Amino acid sequence: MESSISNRIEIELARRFEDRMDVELIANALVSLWQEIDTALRPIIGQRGVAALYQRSLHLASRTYPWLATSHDGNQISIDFVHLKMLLMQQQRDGLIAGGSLLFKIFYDLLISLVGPSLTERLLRSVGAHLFSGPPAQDYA
Amino acid sequence: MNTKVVINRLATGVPGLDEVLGGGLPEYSFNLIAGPPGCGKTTLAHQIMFALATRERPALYFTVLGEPPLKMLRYQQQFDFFDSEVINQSIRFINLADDALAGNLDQVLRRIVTEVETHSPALVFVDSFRSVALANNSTGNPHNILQQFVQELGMLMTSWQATTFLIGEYFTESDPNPVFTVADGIIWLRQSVERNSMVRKIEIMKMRGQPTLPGLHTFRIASSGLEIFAPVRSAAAVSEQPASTDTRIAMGTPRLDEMLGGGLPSGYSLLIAGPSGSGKSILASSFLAEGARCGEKGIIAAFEQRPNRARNRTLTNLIDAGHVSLVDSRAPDLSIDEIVLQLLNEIDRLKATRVVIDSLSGFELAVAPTFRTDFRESLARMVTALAATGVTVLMTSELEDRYTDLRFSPYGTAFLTDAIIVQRYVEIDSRLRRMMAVVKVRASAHSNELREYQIDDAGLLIGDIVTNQDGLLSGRSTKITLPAAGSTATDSRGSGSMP
Repeated sequence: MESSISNRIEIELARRFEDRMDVELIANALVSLWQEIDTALRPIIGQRGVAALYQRSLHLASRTYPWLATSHDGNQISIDFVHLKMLLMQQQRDGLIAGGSLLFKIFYDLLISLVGPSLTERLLRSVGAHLFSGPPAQDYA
Repeated sequence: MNTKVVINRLATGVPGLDEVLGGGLPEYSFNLIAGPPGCGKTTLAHQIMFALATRERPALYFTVLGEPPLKMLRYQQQFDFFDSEVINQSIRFINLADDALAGNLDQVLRRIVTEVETHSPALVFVDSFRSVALANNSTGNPHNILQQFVQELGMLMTSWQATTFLIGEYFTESDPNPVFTVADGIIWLRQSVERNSMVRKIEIMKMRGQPTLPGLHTFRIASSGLEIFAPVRSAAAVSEQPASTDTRIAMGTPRLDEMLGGGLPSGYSLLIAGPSGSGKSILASSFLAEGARCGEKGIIAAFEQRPNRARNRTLTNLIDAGHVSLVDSRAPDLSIDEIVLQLLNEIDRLKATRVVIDSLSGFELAVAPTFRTDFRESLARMVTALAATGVTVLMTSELEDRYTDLRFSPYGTAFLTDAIIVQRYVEIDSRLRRMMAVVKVRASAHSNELREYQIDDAGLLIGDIVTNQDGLLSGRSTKITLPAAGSTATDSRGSGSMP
């Protein structure tokens, strides 16, 4: 099934940051989304559970975008947001949005493959709400 | 004025469980769901939770160590009761793995209390509780620490007005586990393996303040979740009205009604015992066909090895036309309680008046080996439960043809039934011929004649009494030489005598 939320995230990111070259702004938005995912899932599957899914997503996404490859060992206790931001900050705008969106898509698809689309949608319903309903990017900055 | 506290009993939503519990689950009780791995503890907990949780009565499900929550959610959502929409609304899952891994039970308890304070749940589940105990790495006596933990948890949950469930793997109930003392209720799930079959059983070992149904009760896990087969006595609304001989029903086999003293009294149970090929099933089909002709609905519980090939055309037509409902369970863990429940449901659904069980011998083979030891007792319960509904029951029973031993059924079930017809093969003039007789019709006159019968496309054709043979049932019949005309050598006892 198509991961509608991740597609929405990609479209929304592209729209919001259209013509903007501020990589840090985009990286912050992406990290913020991952923090929302962590907040939504951590109580239910534990921080190690979220970290394991995140690590797997990074690994899969790095096949398309090698810059997402991580040197972390596979036994992380929690998502390393600092490391994520560092990876993102090293990219150009377009690659950043495409790679960042693919990472979300892979994560959603992974979760869907494990617990199905309806539960995934239910668990992550609140994620991105801020991005979708918040003020436009220029005011956001 | 009655000042006693009224304990509200919650309907668990698990078919059969409320009956076994003795009327539902006491609100604010502190319960243990125990049993070995794979016995259905987590499924039972989820089924109860999804049935009971509402926005006004929310549930918290704490996962500790053991089964990863993702796996649990993955598998539990396969059940019909699982509703993704209520997650994070009336049902919240909370993972305590990080707290448990720290090895400090106080921290686990604190986290539980924090979450309970935040969400004010009416239902709390802790899965698995055993892993909480294992997570404790303090140096004190593990039993004391665990007991203290459980007591605190129990006290807190009761004060917070939460009905609580601890789910845990316990292999032996003899283990003097302090949890057992503290718990208000203990629901024990088991798996009984005998030969190639596995039967799931549930036992309410303890439920404070209410009369539970003692003993082991069979249950099955299907896509709808657990279904518990409560014993028939509690499942059936037993009416104690005895069957009367005033109303008699036709058997659908010509001349058989006459042998029975005017038909079979309505509400009676009739056993037809005979060797293989003697026409028991044909007689049973005629019984159902006669019912259909009179506008009555029938039910047949068939236990042939090859149902489609073995079933006769009359019966197939009756089933196809909707006059007869077929109960044909081939589950390897089939219990008598389950089949009785199926029959009672069908009787209720169709308002059926005639029930056939064909045959008891096949039934015995169909039930899981673990139930065969108690087959006779269970059969008695089944006959009682069916009789209580007022239906007329016809059961067939395979009878080994032993000429040295006059039997009516291999289970000593003859006493259970109100009426018995026996069929035998006899040798007369170097031919194998069929005989039948009515052995018993409780509180009614009936024939005691040995009648010869034949089987053709129309069914059983009952002939006359065999008048010139003696010792038929012994297998060594002798021809009686008729004396001079005007007298008879046979003892023509005729119909109308009492049993």
